[in-house]
Amino acid sequence: MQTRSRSVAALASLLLLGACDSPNAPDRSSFYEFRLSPSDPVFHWPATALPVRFYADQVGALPEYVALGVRMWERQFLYGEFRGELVSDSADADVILSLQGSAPPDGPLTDDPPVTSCTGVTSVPPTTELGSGQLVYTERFQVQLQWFSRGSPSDIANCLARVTAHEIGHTLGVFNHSPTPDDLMARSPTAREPTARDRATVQILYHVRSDILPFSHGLLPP
Amino acid sequence: MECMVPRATIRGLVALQLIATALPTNARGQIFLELRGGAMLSSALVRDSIVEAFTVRPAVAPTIDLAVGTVLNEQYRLAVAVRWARSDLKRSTDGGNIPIIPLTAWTGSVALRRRLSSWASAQGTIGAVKYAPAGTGRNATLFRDNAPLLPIVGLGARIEHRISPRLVVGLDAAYDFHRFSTLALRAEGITGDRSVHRFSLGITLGASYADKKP
Ligand SMILES: [Zn+2]
Repeated sequence: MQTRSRSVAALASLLLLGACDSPNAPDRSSFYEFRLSPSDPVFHWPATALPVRFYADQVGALPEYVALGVRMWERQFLYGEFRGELVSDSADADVILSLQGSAPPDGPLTDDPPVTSCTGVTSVPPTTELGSGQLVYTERFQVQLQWFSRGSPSDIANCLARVTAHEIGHTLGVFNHSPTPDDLMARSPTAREPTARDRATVQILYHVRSDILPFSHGLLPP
Repeated sequence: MECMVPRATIRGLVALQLIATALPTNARGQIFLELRGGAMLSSALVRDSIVEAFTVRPAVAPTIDLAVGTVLNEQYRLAVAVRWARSDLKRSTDGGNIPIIPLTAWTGSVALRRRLSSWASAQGTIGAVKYAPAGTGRNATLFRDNAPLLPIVGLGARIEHRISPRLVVGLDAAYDFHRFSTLALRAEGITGDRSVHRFSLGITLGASYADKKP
């Protein structure tokens, strides 16, 4: 009988231990609009399109910056909402990144203050409507980067890494700019990686319904 | 008609029978080996809310356990076991399930079993579980910075039937409990540990001692 009482007590304490559950929910209240206009359709990569395939021109360290940028954005998610990979053939890519002009001077990435010695632009493809009314992109995303002879080689490298990460943010579906200058998705970014606001914004984006399907040869009429 | 039992299973059974034949037959201090196949259901590892509430849990997982133990006396046996369980970690909302990453749960445990009758036993276990996400996708998951080793405690019950002097087949139900968190969850602000309850059902084939009835 005593053994039985002890067993019951052990079971009870085990269940009580299980009942002490107190996880705290994170605060994601600070975010910005990811659409250019609130009436615009939403785009994010669907789970079925992951990993998103990025192709980078083999110019200078661009492939390295793209790999860094993709990893940075992946790390903003906890539940596998976005994954990317580099591909070696642009024909296989969902996103193509190119660097205009010659290769920039070789310089290591540093923690130096940001210098605006590069620029970038992401071309969001046009959409078409399928028979079902579903919107689909008719082309791949294209990102064009450009560097200027301003600052040291490391300033140029830092700028290209930063702006590449920013443009990759646009290809995730963050088509708007953050109104906060500290954010990576600010119009002229100085941050080297996504901030808590950038993180909350992409997390929210990837938990709302996407209205547009990514480009796929199989979806479009011949 | 083709035989539906996989060749590996037949080889396993033959090997177990050979090992069992080689074992001595008096009970105390003897070694026994067990192979268990089953399925495991886990409660949520994470509950979160982004736009809408969702849970993150492993799908029902097939399990394989391997245990080795010794007979302490007529009533008690001590066993060391390792369990492999693999399924998709998935995010579940009202709208459905989205797979996140294939996830293996390795569980190592020490079990103390008490014989309740000639055909039933109960056990208590302590051990540790190690989650191992597969592939390169872990960077975008709660396991990106670590997959910690987590202590577990558990209970189980088994009914068994001796099919030969050395072989036993058993049906069992097991429950275990652990607390769960990762560095990535903590960095996100999900700071409390979550209680995870796991239930499993399994069929065991054991190469056992020839039990002397009291
Ligand atoms: Zn921009």
